[in-house]
Amino acid sequence: MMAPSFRPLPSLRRRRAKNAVLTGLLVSAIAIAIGVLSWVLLFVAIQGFSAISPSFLASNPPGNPSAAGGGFFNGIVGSFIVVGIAAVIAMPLGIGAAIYLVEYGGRLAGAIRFVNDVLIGIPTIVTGAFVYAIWVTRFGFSGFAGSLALAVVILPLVTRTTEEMLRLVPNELREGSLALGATRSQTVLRICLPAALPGIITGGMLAVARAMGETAPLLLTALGNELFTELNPLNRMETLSLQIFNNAFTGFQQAQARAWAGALTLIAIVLILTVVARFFGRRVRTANP
Amino acid sequence: MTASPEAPPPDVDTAAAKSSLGLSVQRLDAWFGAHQVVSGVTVDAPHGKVTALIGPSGCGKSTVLRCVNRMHELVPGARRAGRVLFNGVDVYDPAIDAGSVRSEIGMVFQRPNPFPTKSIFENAIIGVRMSRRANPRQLPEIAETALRRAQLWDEVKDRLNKPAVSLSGGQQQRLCIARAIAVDPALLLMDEPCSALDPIATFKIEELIRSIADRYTVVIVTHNMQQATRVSDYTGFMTIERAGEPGRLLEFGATTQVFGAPVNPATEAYVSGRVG
Repeated sequence: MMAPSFRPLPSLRRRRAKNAVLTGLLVSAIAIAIGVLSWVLLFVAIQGFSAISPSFLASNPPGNPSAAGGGFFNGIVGSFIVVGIAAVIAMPLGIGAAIYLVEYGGRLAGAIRFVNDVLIGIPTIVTGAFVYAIWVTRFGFSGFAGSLALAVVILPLVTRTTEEMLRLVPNELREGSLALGATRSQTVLRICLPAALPGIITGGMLAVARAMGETAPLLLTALGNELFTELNPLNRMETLSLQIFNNAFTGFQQAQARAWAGALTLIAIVLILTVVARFFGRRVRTANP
Repeated sequence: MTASPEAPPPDVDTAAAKSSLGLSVQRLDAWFGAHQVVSGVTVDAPHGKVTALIGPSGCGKSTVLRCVNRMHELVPGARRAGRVLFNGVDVYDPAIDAGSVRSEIGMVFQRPNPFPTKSIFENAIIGVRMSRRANPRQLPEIAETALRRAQLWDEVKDRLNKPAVSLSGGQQQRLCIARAIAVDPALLLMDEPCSALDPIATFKIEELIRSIADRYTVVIVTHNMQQATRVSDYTGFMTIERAGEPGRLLEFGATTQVFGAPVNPATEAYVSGRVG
């Protein structure tokens, strides 16, 4: 029982009931969120596992979409090429922009940050249409056009995460470096970037994972290529996401089975990238205790 | 560095300033935006001696220090007026680069700030890597000399490649002192270097300051008055009259005089512990 020196609280029962109701609401919110997510994952896994096989990962689709068998090898290869080129374009630009925003600031910084936030919110189909208008109408459909569209999608993400990571670098380190007679660029390259690097890599990996799953910006750019494995990014190219979209669309059961297997493959790739990103993210915390 | 081509103000005895080695701060004013934080501070810190700046929090001691190595100007909106001569050279001479001033005038901060991604060895020599063109083969020797002077060598010589953050707080601060010393500065500025340390680590730093004092000009900001009496030869007392007013230097003299027979009643009240 309560010690007599504690003043009894008014309506203790109501307070307890309110507390229980709120706890219940929060627990059910979490349960629903996780439930839906695991439902999606489990559903894809069950559908995918019944269609996936080693040959699925190693062969191209059959010429006739209603035929069984075949795989998405060309799409997997294409995804890595298209996303890889996008990352090579977007990472240096994004990291450079973030360095400018954090380390140099200046009067333009506010405006750039605003534009970056707007870019993050642009629907990716619009990005695809934009690249179609300025690039594809002149040079035709190509894997590279797809890379440009994906680069526009992930550039603001890379800028944002790099900016956040650089802001986490304590100002004392910058002062310590400048007080040794270092220039601003030496301070950025030798002190700030190494300190923020694990976080920047994590952010980059997550942006790449996001690009892997993007379909809309590729519809009007990379276009797809069902027939063979294309390695030249100057030609139209298949990607995993486009292949899932096109096969699911056909209405043939065999093609839809391939789409499920492709979806499972895509989830696995994204999962691996996320785990790798987490691994680097853990390192940033141990490096700055 | 070259001598200032600028004509000295008539009221400053430049002959004396130029003939003596060390730091000479003359009528220094400093602002953050429109807010003046330091007014008319004149301090001379001779070579081979330790000069302490004491005073209550917010009286502008650190700002004076940061004006000396031009760290003050890094804060957006920060301004200063007045002269800072080091070994007779105006550090604000337009022909002189702030980086070269800072590699000649080292600084140790309140909280130990070793670079977390770098090893003990890398921390000790990174200033040399960034500000001087040193022969890579000389780096181990430079590191050892600096770490010895910072009285850290015996504790770290077997683990130079370990991360700097694996050291204790006091060791980290001595590493930061070694890092500053390695660049071979002539003046060391210390901004409350022991305020984040325990008494034993503090004692070691004070011992270290005494041991290096003859080689350098040392200026230390502290609000620990016992520390000022233990480590310094000269003491300047700064204070603010009211919140929002700029900090001023009320008294400057030999440490024994400032603490033993202060001229200004406000200094007397502060050093005897009645205020502040």
